Amino acid sequence: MAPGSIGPWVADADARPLRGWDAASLARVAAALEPVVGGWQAAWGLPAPAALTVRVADARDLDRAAWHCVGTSGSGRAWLGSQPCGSGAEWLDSPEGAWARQVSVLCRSDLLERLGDWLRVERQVTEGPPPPALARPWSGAVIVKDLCDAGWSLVLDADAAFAKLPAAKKARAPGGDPLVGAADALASRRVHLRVELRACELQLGMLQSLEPGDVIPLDHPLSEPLQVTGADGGVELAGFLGRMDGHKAVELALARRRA
Amino acid sequence: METMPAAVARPVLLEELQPADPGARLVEDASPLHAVKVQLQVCIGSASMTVGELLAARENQVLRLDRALEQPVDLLLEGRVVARGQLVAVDDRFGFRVTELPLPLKV
Repeated sequence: MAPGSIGPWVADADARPLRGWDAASLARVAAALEPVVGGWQAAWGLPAPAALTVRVADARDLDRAAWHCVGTSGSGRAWLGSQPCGSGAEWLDSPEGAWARQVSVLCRSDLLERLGDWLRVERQVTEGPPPPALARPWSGAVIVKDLCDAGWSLVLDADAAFAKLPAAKKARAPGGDPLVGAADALASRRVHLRVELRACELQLGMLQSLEPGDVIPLDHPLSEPLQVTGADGGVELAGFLGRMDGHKAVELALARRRA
Repeated sequence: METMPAAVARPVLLEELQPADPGARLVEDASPLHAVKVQLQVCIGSASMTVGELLAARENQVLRLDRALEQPVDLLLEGRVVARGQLVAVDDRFGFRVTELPLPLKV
């Protein structure tokens, strides 16, 4: 459906893939990320922590630190979050030493560059936290905490994280039913049709005074077909009255379009 | 538009109404409604078919209805049968001869 058309549909951009995380997928993301983080840690002489742990991010994860983002919306983004000054390792994030802050900035920039290369996105870095909406049950972001002793965290949105997983095979479920059109799906549904003459109007008083034998003249010419309508009004055909096998019957005709 | 001094306009205070025992009927019979026009339908009969049969239907195809030839047709008011009768011809138009009425038809 074309954008802007009237209907119950939403724009394609408003729909997101319904993807969930399982332990195996999170472990694969961690494994894919380890060479990047390991290379960065080695380059800066940082002690390598135990194996990276990736988990689904929740709202509290996204609400804490100062964040820097690499990547653009729609391409897969990563956010690097650092603790407020004084709460991390002092050599890295000390408010007292200008050189330490300089090193901290360079160290962070290097990791963001490496992440940009890894994600194959623009290296342009912006400040700002991940959108709160990323902490959601389906297609939500994942987080890796404690990248270094300073307590830095890395958040990957679903596009970025899923891009690192092997592509799922597009196979039809075994025994899946073949696709059919709407008309075929409804083919066996029964439709109730009523055959009627054109409606007539009568005063209620006249209707109440009717007696057996009275004849109501109707405004329906003998030469015109009768109306064949669906019980719910969805079908509108026409038919000439006749008989068949001792029953009333109609010979179907093209319905005259209403003006 | 002319305006009036504020002192001329006074608020309208609505009296609290209490439900009371019902009094005399306001409409004794339906006679005041006699002039009301109602729309009636004459239903000849009905048939059912599947959507597949309907989509495959062609002009001149004959559809047998559920009513035998001698069975009456229905006169409907608001979807309910208020009389049965025979389909007749009056000049060049259809007509409906009443054969069966509810007792009484009066409202």
